[in-house]
Amino acid sequence: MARWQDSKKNMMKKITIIIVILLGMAATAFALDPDNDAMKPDSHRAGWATGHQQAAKTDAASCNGCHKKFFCIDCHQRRDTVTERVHKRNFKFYHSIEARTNPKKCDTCHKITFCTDCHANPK
Amino acid sequence: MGNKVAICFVFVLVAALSSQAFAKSWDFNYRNLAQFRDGRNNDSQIPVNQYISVGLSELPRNFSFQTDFRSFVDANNTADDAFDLYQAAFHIDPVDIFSIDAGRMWFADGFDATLIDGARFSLFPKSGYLGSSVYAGVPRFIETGDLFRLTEGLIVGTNLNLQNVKDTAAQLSAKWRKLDATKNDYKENDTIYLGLTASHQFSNIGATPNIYGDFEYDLAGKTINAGTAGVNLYPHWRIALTFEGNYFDVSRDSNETTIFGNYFSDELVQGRQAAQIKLMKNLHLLEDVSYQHYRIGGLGNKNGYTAGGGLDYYWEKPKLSSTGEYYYRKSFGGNVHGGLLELVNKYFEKLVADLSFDVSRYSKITGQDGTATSLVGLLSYQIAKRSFLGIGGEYNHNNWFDREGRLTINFEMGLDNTMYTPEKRSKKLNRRFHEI
Repeated sequence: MARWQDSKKNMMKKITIIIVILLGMAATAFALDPDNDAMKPDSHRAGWATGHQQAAKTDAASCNGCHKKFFCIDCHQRRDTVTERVHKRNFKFYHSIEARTNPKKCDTCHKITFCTDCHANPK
Repeated sequence: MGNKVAICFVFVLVAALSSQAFAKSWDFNYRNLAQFRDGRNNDSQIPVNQYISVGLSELPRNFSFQTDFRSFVDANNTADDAFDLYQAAFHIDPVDIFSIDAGRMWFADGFDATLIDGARFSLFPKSGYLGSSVYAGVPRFIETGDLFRLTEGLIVGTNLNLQNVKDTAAQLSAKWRKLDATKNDYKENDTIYLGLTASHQFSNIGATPNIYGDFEYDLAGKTINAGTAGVNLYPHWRIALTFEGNYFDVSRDSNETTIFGNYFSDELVQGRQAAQIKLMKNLHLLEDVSYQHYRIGGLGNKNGYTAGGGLDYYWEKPKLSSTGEYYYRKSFGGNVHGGLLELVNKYFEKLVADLSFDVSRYSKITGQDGTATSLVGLLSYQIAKRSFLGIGGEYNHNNWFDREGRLTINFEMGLDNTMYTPEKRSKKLNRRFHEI
């Protein structure tokens, strides 16, 4: 019993040392990197690809400060199937699942004929 | 493409190119993007896309012009549209505070963002708190029609913008949309939308919280079309957080059919949260989750879930950007788990290598369970300042649709008379572009 408790204590000690070392490494990495990501607007960091429409609606002029209008057209309207852009190739196989989470997102770029044309005559 | 349309656009192109003689600043870009595909039934396709872009600015009277279009051929499928016009728009500032935009242009009216054939007149005084614009035109969607098909109705609207208020932006919008002309069609074919969108950052110092909101109302359908409230928080410069709530609905009386109205019989309520955390130098944690609650006719109340998260690391020595991500979607249509690895290497100054590998395992209510894998790569070499030659390949596999191989050729040629030379950026700046 005493042996088992000793072994448990040793294990706890080792785990504690490992956690302290990991925290130390993380703190060192944190402290040694004062390099701020200043080149990119803060708003573009967390989930920007999904949520940028709100900012574009409120103040489109601020988008035009850095982006040409074709930057928007390239994702929202360009329709060649040679390169991947918004959707990866696999999306074709599970789009029915994602469309049923929020079809409002589909409406942003597609008309309903895009769905009906293809489902009536699959390629 | 009809002959008249072809002649019309060759004329526009020649006029645009020849007017470069009068423009102080101009740019021209040609891109040929072709692919050879060998599909599941040996139904090979060879789509060839040719993109042309012409931009003119600093013409007399502050006139500028931009056009972008694509011509498309596929020897094995002549039924597809062969010509897409993305932009053919001019902008003119007769006086400092007044501007005119007209032609086919990308247009955000406060409700939607789409292409429009129309004109906008904007008045933004240098002083004062309000600026405004009025516009009219026909919305266009490249995927639904050719140049002259009028399927999207006519829109006429106005925007009133708050300006010169520190750290605050707001826009009040009104839009009338006429879809078709028949008797007693107020609810079916006419819609009046009212909208208010606003944002405020609590100070102009970076990383201070930002709140935003949006409200859109359909007056004819008596329906709240959209409502959004959100906040961006930066508790530390390494941490960016977004929390957002949304409400969406659409009038079912309108003749304008939407994908949302087709799927859902009532409103959708959504909560979303996203984060980007810089864990250490060159290493970021990315995360985005959302929850939806909605009603389906015949099925009752249902929930949807989306989640994605991963790590992004930049390897300095080999100049390699790498992102690994896990994603998950669940709705009444089924669920999908996936893993995505993306690599971008710029070790050699003029050579860029892209590679992505995606694996998705899905289970649908239709019983079509399966696994899809996709390997996509492209090697691109910079021939001159704005000219590139690229070759790529794809291998896509799915146990339901079998397999497909693709070979891609990309050629781009850009000319301009500007002094912009991206290769003259400092090494520090280039590194930072990689890193962020």
